[in-house]
Amino acid sequence: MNRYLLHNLSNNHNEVEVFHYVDNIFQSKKLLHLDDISSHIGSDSEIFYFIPSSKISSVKLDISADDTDEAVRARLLSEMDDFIVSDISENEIFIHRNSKLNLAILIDKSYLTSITDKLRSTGSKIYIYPEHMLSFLKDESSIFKVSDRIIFSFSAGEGFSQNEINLDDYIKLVKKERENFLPKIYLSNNILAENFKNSEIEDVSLESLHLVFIKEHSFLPNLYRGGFHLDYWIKRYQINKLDLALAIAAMSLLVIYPISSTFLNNSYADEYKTETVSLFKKINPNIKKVVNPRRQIDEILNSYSLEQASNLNISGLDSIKRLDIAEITKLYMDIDKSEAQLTLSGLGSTQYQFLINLLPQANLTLIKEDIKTSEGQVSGLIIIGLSG
Amino acid sequence: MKEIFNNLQNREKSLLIILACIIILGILLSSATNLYSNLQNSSQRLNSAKSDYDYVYQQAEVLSLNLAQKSFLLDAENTYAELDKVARDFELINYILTKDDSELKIVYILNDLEKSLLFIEESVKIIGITPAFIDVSRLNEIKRFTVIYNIK
Repeated sequence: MNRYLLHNLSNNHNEVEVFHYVDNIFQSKKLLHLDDISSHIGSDSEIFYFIPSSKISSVKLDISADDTDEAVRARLLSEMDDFIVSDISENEIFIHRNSKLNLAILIDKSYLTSITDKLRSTGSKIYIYPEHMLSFLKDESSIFKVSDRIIFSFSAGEGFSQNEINLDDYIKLVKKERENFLPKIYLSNNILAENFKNSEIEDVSLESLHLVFIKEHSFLPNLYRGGFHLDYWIKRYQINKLDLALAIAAMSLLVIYPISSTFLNNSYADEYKTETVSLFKKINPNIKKVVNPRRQIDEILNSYSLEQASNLNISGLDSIKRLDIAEITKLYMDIDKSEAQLTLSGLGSTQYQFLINLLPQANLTLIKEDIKTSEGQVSGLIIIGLSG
Repeated sequence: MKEIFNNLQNREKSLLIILACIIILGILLSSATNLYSNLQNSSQRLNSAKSDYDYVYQQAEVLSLNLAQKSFLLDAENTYAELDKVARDFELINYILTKDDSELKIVYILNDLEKSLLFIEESVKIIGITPAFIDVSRLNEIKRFTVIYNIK
Protein backbone atom coordinates (compact mmCIF):
# COMPACT_ATOMS: atom_id res chain seq x y z
CA MET A 1 0.00 0.00 0.00
CA ASN A 2 1.32 3.40 -1.02
CA ARG A 3 1.09 5.97 1.72
CA TYR A 4 1.90 9.61 1.29
CA LEU A 5 2.35 11.87 4.31
CA LEU A 6 2.15 15.54 3.52
CA HIS A 7 3.46 18.50 5.49
CA ASN A 8 3.26 22.16 4.67
CA LEU A 9 6.61 23.63 3.90
CA SER A 10 5.73 27.07 5.12
CA ASN A 11 2.54 28.87 5.94
CA ASN A 12 1.71 28.79 2.26
CA HIS A 13 -0.39 25.63 2.24
CA ASN A 14 0.13 25.03 -1.48
CA GLU A 15 3.76 23.93 -1.05
CA VAL A 16 4.00 20.50 0.52
CA GLU A 17 6.73 18.07 1.43
CA VAL A 18 5.65 14.58 0.51
CA PHE A 19 6.99 11.50 2.30
CA HIS A 20 6.31 8.32 0.39
CA TYR A 21 6.04 4.96 2.15
CA VAL A 22 5.31 1.55 0.70
CA ASP A 23 4.21 -1.05 3.24
CA ASN A 24 5.64 1.10 6.03
CA ILE A 25 9.05 1.37 4.38
CA PHE A 26 10.26 4.86 3.59
CA GLN A 27 10.75 5.35 -0.16
CA SER A 28 11.30 8.99 -0.96
CA LYS A 29 10.73 12.61 -0.03
CA LYS A 30 9.94 15.35 -2.49
CA LEU A 31 8.50 18.83 -2.73
CA LEU A 32 5.27 19.31 -4.60
CA HIS A 33 2.77 21.99 -5.34
CA LEU A 34 -0.61 20.90 -3.98
CA ASP A 35 -2.25 21.70 -7.34
CA ASP A 36 -0.04 19.08 -9.06
CA ILE A 37 -0.60 16.38 -6.50
CA SER A 38 -3.01 14.32 -8.63
CA SER A 39 -0.29 13.71 -11.20
CA HIS A 40 2.01 12.22 -8.53
CA ILE A 41 -0.33 10.26 -6.30
CA GLY A 42 -2.56 7.47 -7.59
CA SER A 43 -6.01 6.46 -6.42
CA ASP A 44 -4.73 3.22 -4.85
CA SER A 45 -2.96 5.20 -2.13
CA GLU A 46 -3.61 6.67 1.27
CA ILE A 47 -2.89 10.34 1.93
CA PHE A 48 -2.20 11.72 5.38
CA TYR A 49 -2.27 15.49 5.28
CA PHE A 50 -0.98 17.28 8.36
CA ILE A 51 -2.51 20.67 8.92
CA PRO A 52 -0.14 23.04 10.74
CA SER A 53 -1.43 23.20 14.28
CA SER A 54 -1.30 26.99 14.12
CA LYS A 55 -4.17 26.80 11.64
CA ILE A 56 -6.50 25.17 14.11
CA SER A 57 -7.81 25.82 17.58
CA SER A 58 -8.03 22.74 19.73
CA VAL A 59 -9.94 22.65 23.00
CA LYS A 60 -10.17 19.91 25.60
CA LEU A 61 -13.79 18.99 26.27
CA ASP A 62 -15.08 18.59 29.81
CA ILE A 63 -18.38 16.99 29.03
CA SER A 64 -20.60 14.22 30.23
CA ALA A 65 -21.62 11.34 28.03
CA ASP A 66 -25.20 12.67 27.94
CA ASP A 67 -24.25 15.89 26.16
CA THR A 68 -25.03 15.73 22.48
CA ASP A 69 -22.56 16.94 19.88
CA GLU A 70 -24.96 19.76 19.04
CA ALA A 71 -25.10 20.91 22.66
CA VAL A 72 -21.33 20.75 22.97
CA ARG A 73 -20.93 22.66 19.71
CA ALA A 74 -23.36 25.39 20.86
CA ARG A 75 -21.61 25.78 24.18
CA LEU A 76 -18.24 25.90 22.51
CA LEU A 77 -19.39 28.54 20.06
CA SER A 78 -20.62 30.79 22.82
CA GLU A 79 -17.39 30.32 24.78
CA MET A 80 -15.09 30.90 21.83
CA ASP A 81 -17.01 33.68 20.15
CA ASP A 82 -15.04 36.35 21.99
CA PHE A 83 -11.56 35.29 21.04
CA ILE A 84 -12.08 33.94 17.49
CA VAL A 85 -10.95 36.71 15.18
CA SER A 86 -12.89 35.61 12.12
CA ASP A 87 -16.64 35.18 11.82
CA ILE A 88 -17.45 32.11 13.91
CA SER A 89 -19.74 30.76 11.19
CA GLU A 90 -16.78 30.56 8.83
CA ASN A 91 -15.28 27.87 11.02
CA GLU A 92 -15.90 24.18 11.13
CA ILE A 93 -16.06 22.52 14.53
CA PHE A 94 -15.10 18.89 14.92
CA ILE A 95 -16.21 17.25 18.14
CA HIS A 96 -14.16 14.17 18.75
CA ARG A 97 -15.12 11.91 21.61
CA ASN A 98 -13.79 8.48 22.40
CA SER A 99 -12.25 6.69 25.34
CA LYS A 100 -8.84 8.23 24.68
CA LEU A 101 -9.67 11.72 23.46
CA ASN A 102 -12.30 14.35 24.19
CA LEU A 103 -11.42 17.16 21.94
CA ALA A 104 -12.97 19.94 19.89
CA ILE A 105 -11.11 21.25 16.89
CA LEU A 106 -12.01 24.49 15.20
CA ILE A 107 -10.74 25.22 11.71
CA ASP A 108 -11.45 27.75 8.99
CA LYS A 109 -13.94 26.14 6.60
CA SER A 110 -12.58 27.66 3.39
CA TYR A 111 -9.01 26.69 4.30
CA LEU A 112 -10.04 23.09 4.97
CA THR A 113 -12.17 22.99 1.81
CA SER A 114 -9.35 24.27 -0.37
CA ILE A 115 -7.12 21.46 0.90
CA THR A 116 -9.69 18.68 0.67
CA ASP A 117 -10.69 19.70 -2.86
CA LYS A 118 -7.10 19.35 -4.01
CA LEU A 119 -6.58 16.08 -2.15
CA ARG A 120 -9.77 14.65 -3.65
CA SER A 121 -8.33 15.15 -7.13
CA THR A 122 -6.00 12.20 -6.41
CA GLY A 123 -8.85 9.77 -5.73
CA SER A 124 -6.85 8.40 -2.78
CA LYS A 125 -8.16 7.57 0.66
CA ILE A 126 -7.78 10.79 2.59
CA TYR A 127 -6.90 11.51 6.20
CA ILE A 128 -6.39 15.02 7.53
CA TYR A 129 -4.96 15.48 11.00
CA PRO A 130 -3.59 18.36 13.04
CA GLU A 131 0.17 18.18 12.83
CA HIS A 132 0.76 17.98 16.59
CA MET A 133 -0.98 14.58 16.60
CA LEU A 134 2.22 13.15 15.11
CA SER A 135 4.17 13.51 18.35
CA PHE A 136 1.06 13.15 20.51
CA LEU A 137 1.00 9.46 19.61
CA LYS A 138 4.60 9.02 20.77
CA ASP A 139 4.21 11.10 23.89
CA GLU A 140 1.17 13.18 24.73
CA SER A 141 3.20 16.13 25.99
CA SER A 142 5.90 16.67 23.46
CA ILE A 143 7.60 19.14 21.18
CA PHE A 144 9.03 18.50 17.74
CA LYS A 145 9.79 20.36 14.58
CA VAL A 146 8.62 20.24 10.97
CA SER A 147 10.00 22.71 8.46
CA ASP A 148 10.32 26.03 10.33
CA ARG A 149 7.55 25.21 12.80
CA ILE A 150 8.06 24.13 16.40
CA ILE A 151 5.06 22.00 17.25
CA PHE A 152 3.67 21.61 20.75
CA SER A 153 1.47 18.73 21.77
CA PHE A 154 -0.38 18.87 25.09
CA SER A 155 -1.70 16.07 27.24
CA ALA A 156 -5.37 16.23 26.24
CA GLY A 157 -4.68 16.26 22.50
CA GLU A 158 -4.54 20.01 22.11
CA GLY A 159 -1.66 21.49 20.25
CA PHE A 160 -0.16 24.45 18.53
CA SER A 161 2.72 25.29 16.27
CA GLN A 162 4.84 28.38 16.32
CA ASN A 163 7.51 29.80 14.11
CA GLU A 164 11.02 29.60 15.55
CA ILE A 165 11.30 33.39 15.60
CA ASN A 166 8.38 33.74 17.99
CA LEU A 167 9.27 30.71 20.07
CA ASP A 168 10.37 32.68 23.13
CA ASP A 169 7.09 34.53 23.45
CA TYR A 170 5.06 31.41 22.95
CA ILE A 171 7.00 29.44 25.55
CA LYS A 172 6.32 32.22 28.10
CA LEU A 173 2.64 31.95 27.34
CA VAL A 174 2.67 28.17 27.61
CA LYS A 175 4.52 28.19 30.90
CA LYS A 176 2.09 30.74 32.28
CA GLU A 177 -0.99 28.78 31.26
CA ARG A 178 0.32 25.26 31.75
CA GLU A 179 2.53 25.26 34.80
CA ASN A 180 2.88 21.47 34.86
CA PHE A 181 3.78 21.12 31.21
CA LEU A 182 6.75 18.78 31.07
CA PRO A 183 7.19 17.82 27.45
CA LYS A 184 9.50 15.37 25.79
CA ILE A 185 11.56 17.28 23.29
CA TYR A 186 12.24 15.59 19.97
CA LEU A 187 14.66 18.11 18.58
CA SER A 188 17.76 19.91 19.71
CA ASN A 189 16.97 23.52 20.39
CA ASN A 190 18.73 25.73 22.94
CA ILE A 191 15.69 27.82 23.80
CA LEU A 192 13.60 24.73 24.51
CA ALA A 193 16.41 23.07 26.46
CA GLU A 194 16.77 26.19 28.63
CA ASN A 195 13.07 26.57 29.27
CA PHE A 196 12.28 22.91 29.90
CA LYS A 197 15.32 21.84 31.89
CA ASN A 198 13.58 18.82 33.39
CA SER A 199 12.45 17.50 30.04
CA GLU A 200 13.94 14.54 28.26
CA ILE A 201 15.51 15.42 24.97
CA GLU A 202 15.48 12.74 22.35
CA ASP A 203 16.52 12.87 18.75
CA VAL A 204 13.57 11.43 16.87
CA SER A 205 13.30 11.54 13.09
CA LEU A 206 10.12 12.64 11.38
CA GLU A 207 10.06 9.31 9.50
CA SER A 208 9.90 7.34 12.76
CA LEU A 209 7.02 9.55 13.96
CA HIS A 210 5.31 8.84 10.63
CA LEU A 211 5.60 5.10 11.10
CA VAL A 212 4.14 5.24 14.61
CA PHE A 213 1.37 7.45 13.28
CA ILE A 214 0.50 5.14 10.38
CA LYS A 215 0.03 2.27 12.83
CA GLU A 216 -1.94 4.09 15.51
CA HIS A 217 -3.83 6.98 13.94
CA SER A 218 -7.26 5.33 13.94
CA PHE A 219 -8.56 6.89 17.18
CA LEU A 220 -7.49 10.41 16.25
CA PRO A 221 -9.85 13.01 14.79
CA ASN A 222 -9.79 12.81 11.01
CA LEU A 223 -10.72 16.27 9.72
CA TYR A 224 -11.58 14.92 6.27
CA ARG A 225 -15.32 15.00 5.65
CA GLY A 226 -16.43 12.53 3.04
CA GLY A 227 -19.63 12.90 1.10
CA PHE A 228 -20.82 12.49 -2.43
CA HIS A 229 -18.26 13.94 -4.80
CA LEU A 230 -18.74 12.27 -8.19
CA ASP A 231 -15.32 13.20 -9.56
CA TYR A 232 -13.64 11.84 -6.44
CA TRP A 233 -15.49 8.53 -6.48
CA ILE A 234 -14.91 8.08 -10.19
CA LYS A 235 -11.20 8.53 -9.60
CA ARG A 236 -11.21 6.57 -6.32
CA TYR A 237 -12.65 3.47 -7.98
CA GLN A 238 -10.67 4.03 -11.18
CA ILE A 239 -13.77 4.26 -13.30
CA ASN A 240 -12.64 5.05 -16.82
CA LYS A 241 -14.62 6.31 -19.78
CA LEU A 242 -15.31 2.78 -21.00
CA ASP A 243 -16.72 1.76 -17.60
CA LEU A 244 -18.86 4.90 -17.55
CA ALA A 245 -20.04 4.25 -21.09
CA LEU A 246 -20.88 0.63 -20.21
CA ALA A 247 -22.72 1.70 -17.06
CA ILE A 248 -24.68 4.33 -18.97
CA ALA A 249 -25.42 1.81 -21.73
CA ALA A 250 -26.61 -0.76 -19.17
CA MET A 251 -28.77 1.82 -17.40
CA SER A 252 -30.16 2.99 -20.75
CA LEU A 253 -30.92 -0.61 -21.70
CA LEU A 254 -32.78 -1.10 -18.43
CA VAL A 255 -34.94 1.89 -19.31
CA ILE A 256 -35.14 1.42 -23.09
CA TYR A 257 -35.86 -2.32 -22.97
CA PRO A 258 -39.25 -2.14 -21.15
CA ILE A 259 -40.30 0.97 -23.10
CA SER A 260 -39.45 -0.47 -26.52
CA SER A 261 -40.78 -3.93 -25.64
CA THR A 262 -44.04 -2.42 -24.38
CA PHE A 263 -44.33 -0.37 -27.56
CA LEU A 264 -43.64 -3.41 -29.77
CA ASN A 265 -46.03 -5.64 -27.79
CA ASN A 266 -48.81 -3.06 -28.05
CA SER A 267 -48.08 -2.55 -31.73
CA TYR A 268 -48.19 -6.33 -32.45
CA ALA A 269 -51.31 -6.72 -30.29
CA ASP A 270 -53.04 -3.95 -32.30
CA GLU A 271 -51.95 -5.66 -35.52
CA TYR A 272 -53.39 -9.00 -34.37
CA LYS A 273 -56.65 -7.28 -33.39
CA THR A 274 -56.85 -5.54 -36.78
CA GLU A 275 -56.20 -8.83 -38.56
CA THR A 276 -58.82 -10.58 -36.41
CA VAL A 277 -61.39 -7.94 -37.37
CA SER A 278 -60.26 -8.30 -40.97
CA LEU A 279 -60.93 -12.07 -40.77
CA PHE A 280 -64.43 -11.38 -39.49
CA LYS A 281 -64.99 -8.85 -42.29
CA LYS A 282 -63.98 -11.51 -44.84
CA ILE A 283 -66.48 -13.94 -43.34
CA ASN A 284 -69.20 -11.34 -43.02
CA PRO A 285 -68.60 -7.77 -44.28
CA ASN A 286 -71.54 -6.56 -42.16
CA ILE A 287 -69.74 -7.25 -38.89
CA LYS A 288 -69.13 -3.84 -37.34
CA LYS A 289 -67.57 -4.63 -34.03
CA VAL A 290 -65.53 -7.48 -32.61
CA VAL A 291 -65.72 -7.56 -28.83
CA ASN A 292 -65.22 -11.21 -27.95
CA PRO A 293 -63.67 -12.85 -31.02
CA ARG A 294 -63.78 -16.43 -29.72
CA ARG A 295 -67.47 -16.27 -28.84
CA GLN A 296 -68.34 -14.46 -32.06
CA ILE A 297 -66.55 -16.95 -34.35
CA ASP A 298 -68.15 -19.86 -32.47
CA GLU A 299 -71.55 -18.25 -32.98
CA ILE A 300 -70.85 -17.90 -36.71
CA LEU A 301 -69.77 -21.53 -36.98
CA ASN A 302 -72.88 -22.63 -35.07
CA SER A 303 -75.07 -20.60 -37.41
CA TYR A 304 -73.73 -22.65 -40.36
CA SER A 305 -74.66 -25.90 -38.55
CA LEU A 306 -71.43 -27.66 -39.53
CA GLU A 307 -71.69 -31.41 -39.09
CA GLN A 308 -68.04 -32.06 -38.40
CA ALA A 309 -65.07 -29.78 -38.33
CA SER A 310 -62.62 -30.58 -41.10
CA ASN A 311 -58.95 -30.29 -40.62
CA LEU A 312 -56.72 -28.62 -43.14
CA ASN A 313 -53.52 -29.88 -41.54
CA ILE A 314 -52.74 -33.14 -43.27
CA SER A 315 -50.93 -35.34 -40.83
CA GLY A 316 -47.37 -36.01 -41.93
CA LEU A 317 -47.41 -33.86 -45.05
CA ASP A 318 -44.44 -31.90 -43.77
CA SER A 319 -42.62 -35.15 -42.99
CA ILE A 320 -42.65 -36.09 -46.68
CA LYS A 321 -40.21 -33.24 -47.32
CA ARG A 322 -37.67 -35.00 -45.14
CA LEU A 323 -38.03 -38.21 -47.17
CA ASP A 324 -37.04 -36.65 -50.50
CA ILE A 325 -34.25 -39.17 -51.09
CA ALA A 326 -33.52 -40.64 -54.55
CA GLU A 327 -33.28 -44.21 -53.19
CA ILE A 328 -36.82 -44.01 -51.79
CA THR A 329 -38.50 -44.93 -55.03
CA LYS A 330 -42.05 -45.03 -53.76
CA LEU A 331 -43.89 -43.41 -50.92
CA TYR A 332 -47.47 -44.31 -50.15
CA MET A 333 -49.24 -42.27 -47.47
CA ASP A 334 -52.44 -43.43 -45.83
CA ILE A 335 -53.64 -40.18 -44.29
CA ASP A 336 -56.46 -41.74 -42.28
CA LYS A 337 -54.15 -44.31 -40.71
CA SER A 338 -51.34 -41.77 -40.41
CA GLU A 339 -48.94 -44.23 -41.95
CA ALA A 340 -46.56 -44.20 -44.87
CA GLN A 341 -45.06 -47.11 -46.75
CA LEU A 342 -41.62 -46.46 -48.18
CA THR A 343 -40.03 -48.57 -50.92
CA LEU A 344 -36.27 -48.51 -50.73
CA SER A 345 -34.02 -49.45 -53.60
CA GLY A 346 -30.28 -49.61 -53.08
CA LEU A 347 -30.04 -47.16 -50.18
CA GLY A 348 -26.59 -47.26 -48.56
CA SER A 349 -26.74 -49.08 -45.22
CA THR A 350 -25.07 -46.16 -43.42
CA GLN A 351 -27.49 -43.76 -45.04
CA TYR A 352 -30.37 -46.05 -44.08
CA GLN A 353 -29.19 -46.20 -40.48
CA PHE A 354 -28.89 -42.43 -40.50
CA LEU A 355 -32.45 -42.16 -41.87
CA ILE A 356 -33.82 -44.46 -39.16
CA ASN A 357 -31.98 -42.52 -36.45
CA LEU A 358 -33.42 -39.27 -37.77
CA LEU A 359 -37.05 -40.47 -37.76
CA PRO A 360 -37.83 -39.45 -34.14
CA GLN A 361 -36.51 -35.95 -34.77
CA ALA A 362 -38.97 -35.66 -37.70
CA ASN A 363 -41.82 -36.87 -35.46
CA LEU A 364 -41.89 -40.18 -37.37
CA THR A 365 -41.87 -43.68 -35.90
CA LEU A 366 -40.72 -46.92 -37.44
CA ILE A 367 -43.64 -49.39 -37.45
CA LYS A 368 -42.48 -52.21 -39.69
CA GLU A 369 -39.25 -53.08 -41.44
CA ASP A 370 -39.02 -55.57 -44.32
CA ILE A 371 -35.63 -55.00 -45.88
CA LYS A 372 -32.70 -56.92 -47.33
CA THR A 373 -29.11 -55.75 -47.22
CA SER A 374 -26.87 -56.76 -50.03
CA GLU A 375 -23.36 -55.46 -50.62
CA GLY A 376 -23.94 -52.59 -48.23
CA GLN A 377 -27.15 -51.53 -49.89
CA VAL A 378 -30.59 -51.72 -48.36
CA SER A 379 -33.70 -52.57 -50.39
CA GLY A 380 -37.23 -53.43 -49.30
CA LEU A 381 -40.20 -51.89 -47.52
CA ILE A 382 -40.57 -49.97 -44.32
CA ILE A 383 -43.74 -48.59 -42.73
CA ILE A 384 -43.51 -45.49 -40.66
CA GLY A 385 -46.04 -43.71 -38.48
CA LEU A 386 -46.81 -40.07 -39.21
CA SER A 387 -47.52 -38.39 -35.94
CA GLY A 388 -47.92 -34.98 -37.48
CA MET B 1 -28.38 27.08 -3.64
CA LYS B 2 -25.01 25.47 -2.97
CA GLU B 3 -24.22 28.35 -0.59
CA ILE B 4 -27.46 27.81 1.33
CA PHE B 5 -26.74 24.11 1.55
CA ASN B 6 -23.16 24.64 2.72
CA ASN B 7 -24.34 27.00 5.43
CA LEU B 8 -26.58 24.35 6.94
CA GLN B 9 -25.49 22.35 9.93
CA ASN B 10 -24.14 18.84 9.38
CA ARG B 11 -27.25 17.31 10.93
CA GLU B 12 -29.49 19.35 8.59
CA LYS B 13 -27.30 18.51 5.62
CA SER B 14 -27.49 14.78 6.46
CA LEU B 15 -31.27 14.99 6.85
CA LEU B 16 -31.62 16.77 3.52
CA ILE B 17 -29.34 14.28 1.76
CA ILE B 18 -31.24 11.32 3.24
CA LEU B 19 -34.54 12.93 2.22
CA ALA B 20 -33.28 13.59 -1.30
CA CYS B 21 -32.01 10.02 -1.58
CA ILE B 22 -35.36 8.63 -0.40
CA ILE B 23 -37.25 10.83 -2.89
CA ILE B 24 -34.92 9.91 -5.78
CA LEU B 25 -35.06 6.22 -4.85
CA GLY B 26 -38.84 6.41 -4.57
CA ILE B 27 -39.15 8.05 -7.98
CA LEU B 28 -36.76 5.53 -9.53
CA LEU B 29 -38.54 2.56 -7.93
CA SER B 30 -41.95 3.87 -8.88
CA SER B 31 -40.85 4.53 -12.46
CA ALA B 32 -39.21 1.13 -12.75
CA THR B 33 -42.26 -0.63 -11.30
CA ASN B 34 -44.51 1.29 -13.65
CA LEU B 35 -42.31 0.50 -16.68
CA TYR B 36 -42.12 -3.22 -15.95
CA SER B 37 -45.79 -3.40 -15.02
CA ASN B 38 -46.66 -1.81 -18.38
CA LEU B 39 -44.39 -4.32 -20.07
CA GLN B 40 -46.13 -7.21 -18.33
CA ASN B 41 -49.57 -5.86 -19.25
CA SER B 42 -48.59 -5.33 -22.87
CA SER B 43 -47.15 -8.83 -22.99
CA GLN B 44 -50.43 -10.28 -21.67
CA ARG B 45 -52.37 -8.13 -24.13
CA LEU B 46 -50.24 -9.42 -27.01
CA ASN B 47 -50.63 -13.07 -25.93
CA SER B 48 -54.38 -12.64 -25.63
CA ALA B 49 -54.65 -10.90 -29.05
CA LYS B 50 -52.46 -13.56 -30.70
CA SER B 51 -54.36 -16.40 -29.11
CA ASP B 52 -57.71 -14.87 -30.21
CA TYR B 53 -56.38 -14.36 -33.74
CA ASP B 54 -55.08 -17.95 -33.96
CA TYR B 55 -58.40 -19.31 -32.73
CA VAL B 56 -60.44 -17.19 -35.13
CA TYR B 57 -58.08 -18.07 -38.01
CA GLN B 58 -58.36 -21.79 -37.23
CA GLN B 59 -62.14 -21.63 -36.97
CA ALA B 60 -62.33 -19.56 -40.16
CA GLU B 61 -60.30 -22.26 -41.93
CA VAL B 62 -62.73 -24.89 -40.65
CA LEU B 63 -65.61 -22.79 -41.90
CA SER B 64 -63.91 -22.19 -45.24
CA LEU B 65 -63.21 -25.91 -45.63
CA ASN B 66 -66.78 -26.83 -44.84
CA LEU B 67 -68.15 -24.24 -47.20
CA ALA B 68 -65.75 -25.45 -49.91
CA GLN B 69 -66.89 -29.02 -49.30
CA LYS B 70 -70.57 -28.02 -49.51
CA SER B 71 -69.84 -26.07 -52.65
CA PHE B 72 -68.00 -29.09 -54.17
CA LEU B 73 -70.83 -31.45 -53.38
CA LEU B 74 -73.35 -29.04 -54.89
CA ASP B 75 -71.40 -28.07 -57.98
CA ALA B 76 -68.46 -30.43 -58.62
CA GLU B 77 -67.82 -29.20 -62.17
CA ASN B 78 -67.06 -25.73 -60.96
CA THR B 79 -64.59 -27.18 -58.42
CA TYR B 80 -62.86 -29.25 -61.13
CA ALA B 81 -62.49 -26.16 -63.29
CA GLU B 82 -60.94 -24.34 -60.38
CA LEU B 83 -58.59 -27.27 -59.75
CA ASP B 84 -57.59 -27.24 -63.44
CA LYS B 85 -56.75 -23.57 -63.16
CA VAL B 86 -54.64 -24.09 -60.06
CA ALA B 87 -52.90 -27.06 -61.70
CA ARG B 88 -51.95 -24.79 -64.59
CA ASP B 89 -50.70 -22.17 -62.16
CA PHE B 90 -48.52 -24.78 -60.47
CA GLU B 91 -47.31 -25.97 -63.91
CA LEU B 92 -48.19 -29.60 -63.18
CA ILE B 93 -47.15 -32.01 -65.95
CA ASN B 94 -49.59 -34.62 -67.28
CA TYR B 95 -52.27 -33.45 -64.87
CA ILE B 96 -55.17 -35.88 -64.95
CA LEU B 97 -58.29 -35.69 -62.82
CA THR B 98 -60.58 -38.72 -62.70
CA LYS B 99 -63.62 -39.25 -60.58
CA ASP B 100 -66.21 -41.85 -59.80
CA ASP B 101 -68.94 -42.04 -57.20
CA SER B 102 -66.64 -42.70 -54.28
CA GLU B 103 -63.38 -41.03 -55.04
CA LEU B 104 -61.60 -38.27 -56.83
CA LYS B 105 -58.13 -39.02 -58.16
CA ILE B 106 -55.56 -36.49 -59.28
CA VAL B 107 -52.38 -37.64 -61.00
CA TYR B 108 -49.54 -35.38 -62.10
CA ILE B 109 -45.79 -35.19 -62.49
CA LEU B 110 -43.75 -32.56 -60.74
CA ASN B 111 -40.09 -32.72 -59.74
CA ASP B 112 -40.38 -30.04 -57.09
CA LEU B 113 -41.65 -31.84 -53.96
CA GLU B 114 -42.27 -28.67 -51.98
CA LYS B 115 -44.32 -27.13 -54.77
CA SER B 116 -46.29 -30.33 -55.14
CA LEU B 117 -47.19 -30.32 -51.45
CA LEU B 118 -48.35 -26.72 -51.78
CA PHE B 119 -50.62 -27.81 -54.61
CA ILE B 120 -52.08 -30.55 -52.42
CA GLU B 121 -52.80 -28.03 -49.67
CA GLU B 122 -54.37 -25.67 -52.21
CA SER B 123 -56.54 -28.49 -53.60
CA VAL B 124 -57.76 -29.27 -50.06
CA LYS B 125 -58.89 -25.66 -49.70
CA ILE B 126 -60.80 -25.88 -52.98
CA ILE B 127 -62.43 -29.27 -52.46
CA GLY B 128 -62.81 -28.97 -48.70
CA ILE B 129 -61.79 -32.59 -48.24
CA THR B 130 -58.45 -33.89 -47.08
CA PRO B 131 -56.85 -36.60 -49.28
CA ALA B 132 -57.14 -40.18 -48.12
CA PHE B 133 -53.99 -41.37 -49.87
CA ILE B 134 -50.96 -39.75 -51.40
CA ASP B 135 -48.65 -41.81 -53.55
CA VAL B 136 -45.26 -40.54 -54.71
CA SER B 137 -43.40 -42.71 -57.21
CA ARG B 138 -39.93 -41.69 -58.17
CA LEU B 139 -37.95 -42.57 -61.23
CA ASN B 140 -34.62 -40.80 -61.08
CA GLU B 141 -35.54 -37.15 -60.58
CA ILE B 142 -39.07 -37.48 -61.92
CA LYS B 143 -41.80 -37.68 -59.30
CA ARG B 144 -45.28 -38.89 -60.11
CA PHE B 145 -47.95 -37.94 -57.62
CA THR B 146 -51.28 -39.66 -57.15
CA VAL B 147 -53.65 -37.97 -54.74
CA ILE B 148 -56.91 -39.72 -53.87
CA TYR B 149 -59.85 -38.01 -52.11
CA ASN B 150 -62.76 -40.00 -50.72
CA ILE B 151 -65.89 -38.09 -51.60
CA LYS B 152 -68.52 -40.33 -50.01
